Amino acid sequence: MNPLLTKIIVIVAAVAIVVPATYLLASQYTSSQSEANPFSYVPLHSEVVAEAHLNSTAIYLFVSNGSAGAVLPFTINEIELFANATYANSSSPLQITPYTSYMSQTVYSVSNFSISSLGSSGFTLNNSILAIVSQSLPGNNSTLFAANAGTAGMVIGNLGAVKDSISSAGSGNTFSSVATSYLDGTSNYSFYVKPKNLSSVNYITGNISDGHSNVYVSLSGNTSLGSFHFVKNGTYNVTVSSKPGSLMVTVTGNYTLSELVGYVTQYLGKVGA
Amino acid sequence: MAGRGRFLTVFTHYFTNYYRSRSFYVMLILILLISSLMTYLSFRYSNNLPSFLGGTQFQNLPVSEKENVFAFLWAFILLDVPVFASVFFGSPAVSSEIENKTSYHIFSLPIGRFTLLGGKYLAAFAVTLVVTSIYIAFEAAVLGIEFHAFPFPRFYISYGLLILFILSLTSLTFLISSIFSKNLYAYITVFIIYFLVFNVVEILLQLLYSYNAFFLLSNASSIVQRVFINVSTSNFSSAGSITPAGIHEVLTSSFVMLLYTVIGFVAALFVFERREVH
Repeated sequence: MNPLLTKIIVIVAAVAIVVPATYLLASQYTSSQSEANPFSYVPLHSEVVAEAHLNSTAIYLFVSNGSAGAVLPFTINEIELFANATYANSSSPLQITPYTSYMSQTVYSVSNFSISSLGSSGFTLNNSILAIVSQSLPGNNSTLFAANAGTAGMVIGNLGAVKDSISSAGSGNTFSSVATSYLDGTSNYSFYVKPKNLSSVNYITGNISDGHSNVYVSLSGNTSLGSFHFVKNGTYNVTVSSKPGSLMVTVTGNYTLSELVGYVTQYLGKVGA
Repeated sequence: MAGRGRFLTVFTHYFTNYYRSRSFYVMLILILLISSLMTYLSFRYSNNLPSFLGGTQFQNLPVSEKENVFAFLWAFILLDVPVFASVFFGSPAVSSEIENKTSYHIFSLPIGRFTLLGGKYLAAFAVTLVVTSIYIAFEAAVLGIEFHAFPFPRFYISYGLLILFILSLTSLTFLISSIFSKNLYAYITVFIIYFLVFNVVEILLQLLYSYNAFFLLSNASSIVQRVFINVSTSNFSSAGSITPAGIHEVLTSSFVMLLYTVIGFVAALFVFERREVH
């Protein structure tokens, strides 16, 4: 065969493979990143989203349409393995059974599951994180629902939250697109709240890191809310920087997530925001 | 002689050369030693899996999960053995012809250089595959005896990915071999690129930017192991989960290896085509 023709055939064949392969590589890489991103399973229009990091473990909590859920870094299969080992001789064994199918994905019902028992099971879940999840999800002995969340782990919570999570992941309408704007991934705890009953507040974000906390309130109008003080067990430092349209509160002291959100919303209520 | 006949002749000639070479016997002895050791360790420590995994929740692993863990441990070797085999068979592919002056005779034969390199590439790939398949055969036998449940789908997927890994690695070694005129340089360069440059880039990107260097061959090849359990043994940020890699990760790594195969081989062809005999 003519050497020039051979070269042309080789180049054409190479281009015919390389171009579509590069395109498919890019799309598959994007999908794999999305599949592994826990925020891809948090609905975009959630009222509350919280991210907690401790000892290399991260969990993600959300409230969507009044229904609470959590994205945990374990698969349902692993939770079942754990159950086999821990609940084998229990009088009320853990039960994970297929409940329904939603958008081609199996939703499981999870009975007799105490999330706090995960802490003693060998999973690397810090007790503080367990406390947050326990407080956020329905009571220990009520039925929870769960579904696998790609390679990110699983989503567990109320049925509504699990379904919202699946549908948002399917449609791509997820919190992953805005997570870095609202949450600080370097903090121990970081939260985003979109209050429904405070008309002049767009959203509240904040983070708690080793005794240093920040709360930022985005106001919908040019309202100036002035300054305020927290009182909790003695002295602490509060810095308030207020300007029309926003309010920044920096607190030096140990506050829990619920205390911080409670104080701010209480204050906003007092000033009639 | 027709083109296909010439190609087959070149392939057969080099394949015979390869399996008669000392490199082949060194790799054969090495792979038999490793396979025997892994077989012994598998039977000896099969009951110690929960402590290896580090969690009490793994005490009662079902058979399918145990099989995954075993295959994961066996696949660890498959990340390095093909590198040594490809370096032994691929690195001297072109440079040896120049260094030993055999290129005087070969280049004057009425065979196109594309046919020459293509036949030699397939021969190097085939002999590497033979060596690694011996290890796979040991693994399959151990899994079959231990679990009475062989074969299982992920094993075949891993084997398919291993074949793609060998193809891509052979392309890379042929490209480097076609650049150099001395075997030693080709050997050292492949080792430096694969074990040093790739690893340094991967570690730096991971530590400084928390970025997973998915485009590096050393990273993509880890899918051979991660298809069982998605934990990279060369990555700091791996979580303690026994979940297999997802389909998107498998495809991402497959396309990376495919690109290395095609680009590496075509680049090697064009460099080889322009080589002069000095």
